[in-house]
Amino acid sequence: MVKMRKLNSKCKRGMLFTLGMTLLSFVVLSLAILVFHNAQKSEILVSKLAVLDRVYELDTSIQQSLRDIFYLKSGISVNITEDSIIFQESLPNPNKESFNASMTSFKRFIESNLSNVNISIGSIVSQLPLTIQPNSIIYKHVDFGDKQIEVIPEQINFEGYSIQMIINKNVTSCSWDTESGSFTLSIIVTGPNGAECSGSQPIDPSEENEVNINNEDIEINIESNVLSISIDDDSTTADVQTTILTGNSEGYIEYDWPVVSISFADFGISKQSKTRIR
Amino acid sequence: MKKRLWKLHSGNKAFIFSIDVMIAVSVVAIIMIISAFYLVKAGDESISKLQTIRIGSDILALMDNDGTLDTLSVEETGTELNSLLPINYHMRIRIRCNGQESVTVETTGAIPNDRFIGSGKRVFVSETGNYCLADFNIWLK
Repeated sequence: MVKMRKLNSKCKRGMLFTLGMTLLSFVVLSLAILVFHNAQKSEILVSKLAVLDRVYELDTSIQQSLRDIFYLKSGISVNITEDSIIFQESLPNPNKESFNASMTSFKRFIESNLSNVNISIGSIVSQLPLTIQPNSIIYKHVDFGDKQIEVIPEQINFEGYSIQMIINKNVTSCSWDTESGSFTLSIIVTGPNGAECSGSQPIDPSEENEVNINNEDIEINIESNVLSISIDDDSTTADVQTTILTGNSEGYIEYDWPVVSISFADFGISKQSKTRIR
Repeated sequence: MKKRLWKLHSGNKAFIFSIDVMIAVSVVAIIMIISAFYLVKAGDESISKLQTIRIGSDILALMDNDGTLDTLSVEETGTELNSLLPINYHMRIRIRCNGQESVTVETTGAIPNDRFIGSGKRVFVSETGNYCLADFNIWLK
């Protein structure tokens, strides 16, 4: 009887031990599976991070390249000072062909070598529009390579314009027809003999304001807040410096177009970006 | 009198006990092996892979910004690469430009196929106005 009891008690202990070991094994297995699943999740995250890194590298380097092409080929210099943004170029701009050819072949080169990248150059080659942010002012050409520049502000949130032109003909006439206001318009047009058409007036940019030089060979017009500088004479050329008086140095300039699109559809990652010129 | 399961000379107790132990040990061993397999698989160092790629990207960006890539010279790029690359890595850079032969710079001859190879790309415009695409492979020695 005593022997039977001892045997029963040993059996129970053995069963408990087996049960305990089994439970422990399953706990270890569950933990291992949990760790494995977490590792898999983190591997997916790391893959996404790697793709994001690649997108960032491609995006910044393509933007840098587009910026380099702009400075090497466009013939436009851009400068940001403490209180203004200055654009300088020749009218007509002789760099149109080389700039357009460079942009087009760069697009072709990138798109043929990087299947995930698309570069939209749309109106860049025809008008070369540049946007000044945060003021939302567009500096563009009616037809890039032609003799007309336009500055189109979304609203008047800056102080004025200062325009300096050095032309290849003597200044023979200069007429101002402006509406009085609080917006600054400064103009200095200089010919080869040193004669100038110059002045500075506070105007109302929403009204029609016009300055004609050399019997309308050169027209500087501000109407409905839009500045237009045009040369209507075939034989007249000019170096034009257009200064936008923003009153601060916070501005930056970018192409007015979402030029770079990168997409890694398998990872659900895509990016569209404008190129910052300065 | 109890009827014996098998008519063994030594009786049945030890035999059953042995089978019980074998089954139990086998079950536990299988579970442990499976657990170890999962843990080893989970132990792959994904973050260090990312770090490897970032080292490659940083080196390429540095060489782009300091103008080394612009030279398209195997010697200059190789010298700069050797001075920037951590000693426990190998790296290979290939530069393709429009209308030019590609330039390849590498710290060792062959890319191994038994370990992780990080890769990346970078676009740049050379001083002469050529557009180039530099891609790299980087791996641990």
